[in-house]
Amino acid sequence: MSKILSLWRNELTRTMKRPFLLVVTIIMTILCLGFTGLFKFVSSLEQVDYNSLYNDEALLDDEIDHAKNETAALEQALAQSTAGTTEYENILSDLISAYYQQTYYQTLKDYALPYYFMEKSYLDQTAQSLAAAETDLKFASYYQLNEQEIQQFQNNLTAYQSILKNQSYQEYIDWQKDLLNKQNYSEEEKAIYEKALDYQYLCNPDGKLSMVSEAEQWKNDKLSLLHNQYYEGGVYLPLTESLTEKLENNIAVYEYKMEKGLVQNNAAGIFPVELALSASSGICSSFLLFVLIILAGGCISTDIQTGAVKGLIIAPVKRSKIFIAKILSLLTVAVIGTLVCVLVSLVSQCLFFGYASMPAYIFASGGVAHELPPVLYLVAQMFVGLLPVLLVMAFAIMLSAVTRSTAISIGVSIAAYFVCGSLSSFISMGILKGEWVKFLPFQHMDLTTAFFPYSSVSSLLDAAGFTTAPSLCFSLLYLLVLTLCLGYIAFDSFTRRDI
Amino acid sequence: MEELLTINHLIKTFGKRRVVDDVSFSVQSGEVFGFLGPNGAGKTTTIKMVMGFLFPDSGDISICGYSLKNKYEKAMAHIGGIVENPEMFKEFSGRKNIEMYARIHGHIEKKRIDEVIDLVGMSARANEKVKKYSLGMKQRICLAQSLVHSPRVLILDEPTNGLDPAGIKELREILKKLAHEKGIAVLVSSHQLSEMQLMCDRVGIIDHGQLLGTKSVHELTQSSQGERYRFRVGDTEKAKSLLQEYQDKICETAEHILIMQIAEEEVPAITALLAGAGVPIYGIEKIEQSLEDAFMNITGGGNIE
Repeated sequence: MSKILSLWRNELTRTMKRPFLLVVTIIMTILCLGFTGLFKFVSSLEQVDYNSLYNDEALLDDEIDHAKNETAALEQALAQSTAGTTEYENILSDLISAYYQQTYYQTLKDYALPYYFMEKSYLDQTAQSLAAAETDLKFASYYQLNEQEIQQFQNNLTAYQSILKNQSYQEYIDWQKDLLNKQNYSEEEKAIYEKALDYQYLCNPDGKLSMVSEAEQWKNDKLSLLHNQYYEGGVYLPLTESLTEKLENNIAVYEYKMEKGLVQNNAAGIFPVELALSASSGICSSFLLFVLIILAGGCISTDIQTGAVKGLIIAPVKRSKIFIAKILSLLTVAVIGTLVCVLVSLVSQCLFFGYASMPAYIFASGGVAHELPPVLYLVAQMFVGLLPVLLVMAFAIMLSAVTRSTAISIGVSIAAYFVCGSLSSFISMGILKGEWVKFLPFQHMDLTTAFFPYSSVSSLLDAAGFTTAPSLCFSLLYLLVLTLCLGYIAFDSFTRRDI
Repeated sequence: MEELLTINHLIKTFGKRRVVDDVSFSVQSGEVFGFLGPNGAGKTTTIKMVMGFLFPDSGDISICGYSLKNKYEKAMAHIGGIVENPEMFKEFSGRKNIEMYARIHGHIEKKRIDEVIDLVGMSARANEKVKKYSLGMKQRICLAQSLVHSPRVLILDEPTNGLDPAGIKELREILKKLAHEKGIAVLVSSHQLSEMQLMCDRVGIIDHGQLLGTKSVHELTQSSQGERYRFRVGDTEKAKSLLQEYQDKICETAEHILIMQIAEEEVPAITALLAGAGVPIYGIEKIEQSLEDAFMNITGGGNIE
């Protein structure tokens, strides 16, 4: 044991002495800082008023004129056509569409709303609803609306006009709530819809977003639980116990996020700050990957090629211990490297965007939400990203021991890694499919979604077992078995072959 | 005299060629054993098998009584050596290399490291990086490394390669001292026969994978033809005519040279005879067969026995 420790210490000393490690770390840090700085610069540029950018009155006027002409032409055509024929029906439906368009553009102009909406989408929605209401009223006779319905549309119209005039999101929300009363919802359903609207307002008080996806998802999941069925892929699936649990967990996560104000506000800019962090950590992971492949590819072959292996063989240690020590030293470098990557990403992000911009990981189990603090989340992500890299390292070590050529080991390992990437996208695109596909390594190379299912809005299909993605357990077991096999080949080659 | 390194019926085949063909010998404590042979004879292959680089097809090796196959670590703990050219970790200093090696052995004091560095004369430059060393310096520092754990067996493969004459002489003295004073069994392989003659106590000659025999250097350099003496004289013809009774013992004559196969005891009488007759005598020397000659005879085709 002490011999393995001594050898491990020697190997680590030798590895850390290599100047290329320091050079790579410096380059990686500079790149991370550079990219994050660039993101910061771009995101600060973005406080652009899109309204002024795209608010082209002339363009709007053109559209209105165009629409008016079209409406006029269609009216004429209609007058010349005979009621009741197919031709009449077609012209009429075209006319309705054209009238709607015209009304919509006119509304925009009347209320001085910008032509392209990047902000204040609820106003756009309202303008569209207003245009629709006016159109329905105009063609009331065609739709055969009764007095009550006409009155209803007129009330709606008034409401829309008020919302557009006051430009109050609260008013819009209240209006939406009113509308709920006119639907045939049960008490529980109505409560859910109202709460969803409240959430929409909570997360988005100035109405910049057309929809807060978390609130929408929350509503859908709550309704699914209520009705005991889940709509996916065009069918209603009955809820199983695991699906129910997943729904409850999702709901807990959404509520936690919305109530703590952690909902991502995309209107803040095209580059949300999390993108900067994922760019940094992506750069760091790539560099780490290459460094580890280079070290692993050379671990045995370089010593044999340069003759340094003599010093190891002459020592009174069995070859197996030498091998174990080398593996341990590579693992140590992998762990230290991962921590360095965490540090660099963290510093880059905090330097430019502040610690508050670091995302925490919200997850739930047993229907209760928990929060993983940002730094721990980053550390966990990086270590999860390291797991498939260990497989690639094992491959490189195997090549190193078997071929005894550093160039071949590194070259083939890197090539294999890229091929893995391409083939895994073939699989996810469905080009390669079948039960046997999960026995290839490609699907197991990215474990982040399996470990952190709440990091993206995940599909319940996973819980239902309908997707092709293999389970986390299977992935981990597969990686472990494959790594051990490759390791054993390397072990055998080093221990039992002549040098 | 203990046998510290024993090799029994070692066989190693590469492809179709038997590179080491049933080699058996031993090296005893306190002796410098020379392992001689032409290039490609199998010397380095044998040594590599002893040091753990190659796995023998059959046969066994034991060091200080420990079998290499069964008690590898215990056996290897008693060996130090240099195989082919000396290699160390270039980025580190000589001293650091030795420290790293000593760490694996364990229980080696710092002053021992200083001691071995001093022994090989590298105290002044031990702290410089190995990549700056000349070949001779690398040899020395490697030698120091191979001694740091006080091994009982020292194995050196072609150690005089790349050394200057002063270096060779120094190495010879160190090895003889290690053997004769410290009782280390030293195995040296080489094809520098003149040097081996000076350095070794016993030699084993190997050719085409086969060990042709082992004998002490002293025995080998004894002329197979008995003792011969060379007289350098002023007048060869006159000398010959004076030495009638020794006629059958005269082997060669050349200008001013007379070679006779006689016993040591007969030298004074002959000298007196020639001098008495006024034949100028410029020199009398005993002719010794060099190891080179013995080697050529042996490898030219026959065993030593």
